[in-house]
Amino acid sequence: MDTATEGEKVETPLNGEGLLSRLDPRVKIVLFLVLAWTVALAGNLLQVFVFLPLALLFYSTAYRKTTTILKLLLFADFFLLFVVLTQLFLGSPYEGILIFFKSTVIVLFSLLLLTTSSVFDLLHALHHLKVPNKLLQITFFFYRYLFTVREQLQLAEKSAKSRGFIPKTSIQTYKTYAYFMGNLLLKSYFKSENVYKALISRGFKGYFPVFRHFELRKLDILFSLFTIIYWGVAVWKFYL
Amino acid sequence: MEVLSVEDLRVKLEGREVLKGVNFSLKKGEKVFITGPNGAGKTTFLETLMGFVPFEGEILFKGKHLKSEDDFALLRGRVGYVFQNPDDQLFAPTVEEELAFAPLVKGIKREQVKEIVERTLREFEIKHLRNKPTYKLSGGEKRIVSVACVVTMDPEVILLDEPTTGLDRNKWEKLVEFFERTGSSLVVVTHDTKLMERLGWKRYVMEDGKLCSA
Amino acid sequence: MHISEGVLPGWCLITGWVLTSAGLYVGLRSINGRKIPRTALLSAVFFVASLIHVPIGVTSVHLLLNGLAGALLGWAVFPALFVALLFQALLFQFGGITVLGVNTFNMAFPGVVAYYVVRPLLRKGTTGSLIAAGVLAALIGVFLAATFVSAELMSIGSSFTKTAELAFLAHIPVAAIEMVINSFVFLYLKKSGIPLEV
Repeated sequence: MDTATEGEKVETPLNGEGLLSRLDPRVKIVLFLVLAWTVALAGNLLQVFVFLPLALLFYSTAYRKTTTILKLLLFADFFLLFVVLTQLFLGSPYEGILIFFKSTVIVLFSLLLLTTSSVFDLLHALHHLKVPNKLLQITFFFYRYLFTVREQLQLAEKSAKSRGFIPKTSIQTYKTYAYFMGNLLLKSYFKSENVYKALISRGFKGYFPVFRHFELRKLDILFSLFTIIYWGVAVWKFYL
Repeated sequence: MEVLSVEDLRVKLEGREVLKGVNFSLKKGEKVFITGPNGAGKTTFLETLMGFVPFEGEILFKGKHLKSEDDFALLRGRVGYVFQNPDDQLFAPTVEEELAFAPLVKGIKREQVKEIVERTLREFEIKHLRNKPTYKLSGGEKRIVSVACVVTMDPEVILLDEPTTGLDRNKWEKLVEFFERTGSSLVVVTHDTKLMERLGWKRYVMEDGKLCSA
Repeated sequence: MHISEGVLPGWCLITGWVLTSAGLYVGLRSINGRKIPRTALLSAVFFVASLIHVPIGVTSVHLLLNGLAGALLGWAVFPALFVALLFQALLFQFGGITVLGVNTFNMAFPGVVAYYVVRPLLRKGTTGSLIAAGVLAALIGVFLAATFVSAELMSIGSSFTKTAELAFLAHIPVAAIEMVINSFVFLYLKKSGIPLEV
């Protein structure tokens, strides 16, 4: 179990870091989608490498978080490691290398364009980008109570440990984890009932009023122009 | 003989010094109270004894220094901890299973576990709650069950965090009788002056991260 | 097991998004009123529970829990797992945005299948039928997801045969553990008197 210190908030890894965090999240989401999909569709290394300078330029705005970024790039994703290694040794090494760079570039874009905004700002931006409201409400409640649910689990773990529980390969251990989950499901079920009552008693009609509105500023426009031109030239020269 | 002792215990949480050099020792069978204002570090002290909080200083269980997670794993089978909030402590589906948890984890045979659970249900007069889901219990019942599910572990020491809060007269009396009767050493964090007067054990006061005997 | 960014070919990513959009459409239609916060909270539970390192032998695994989620949520498993996977991508960079469609479908569709298979057993509610439900939910959820992942990897090209085989095999211990865990979860909910249809 990932034990985080109490009181820690669940938040995007680069929230508020560097120049890119000051951009309008709507702009960043759209640009991210364009760039990520382009790299995802790349068929050879050259098509990936042409976007590497852009990714590194973005990275330079958050160089102070190099450790965090490296950790997320290299160690977060076991599946990537698995695919790259099996390709290097049991499949096609070229494919392995291609996948490694595709993934790295896309994840860099994701880290620097998406996770430099807070979760709330991203959700808010998705609302403006016409993502269905019901889905966003679920996302909002999910995020609102994620920390509570995690804390609940940590408390149950603490309770079990304080009664001598040590996780090992045994039915008793699996049963204990099942009890943790049952307990979480039960508490969350009741919690959601209370949340619902609180909502309707405040006249909730199924959408969240947004107090703060995004405003496109000069910086957003310059950044978009630069990125789109870079993208256009790259696609024209290397993809078409 | 000392079961549990602590030398110059220091704890920092989120940059704040919560425990500022606590010294404490508990003999076999000894029962004590810890009292003091809210936020003085009482709960943190109990949690540190259980190995849930990073600390500096020494914690000794029966003369053995505890440092690593493995050391504390050994202690946790023998030192019980009753949480301040029973809702945080109880996680099994029913009262019976909650009581059976600790002995099952210890690897005790099923028949014997049944006996232990039976005996404890009787001891705390909660046989009628046996199959009740823990979330359906009243506040007072939850508290009794949260003590009972630690007792089935047969611990040498029990640390209790405000165990009498929200108990009615009858349940309060039952708990006090248990405190008098049990052979386990007890550390009871409490504000309940009636309880302290009634039992008359040694009192410590925790104030601003420091523990002194009253 | 979620597929990372940059692994699958474009047509596969797009098909994933199309199928997931359809699933989300059906799922969201079934969610109204109190089911909105409920789906969200249960989604958070599955998110948190899937982060537990469950020990097996000398190593440990993460659980998928998609069969369990499907059995409890029905079609709402699509939005529930979509949101959970979105946050895994945002917070930890597990999976990713272009593969979110594929990953959601891989997990949620087997959940829906598990829902239809397991539901009658949960209604019956005897100890035996609940254990059977737990075992079936794990087998359907995990192995169907493993089959999708492997098939998708195979679709990239012949060099992926070994990768796909190993990916499939890696799911076997997960299925074994989930059979035990699901059964105990169903028994837990039954004993607690919580409606199994949430």
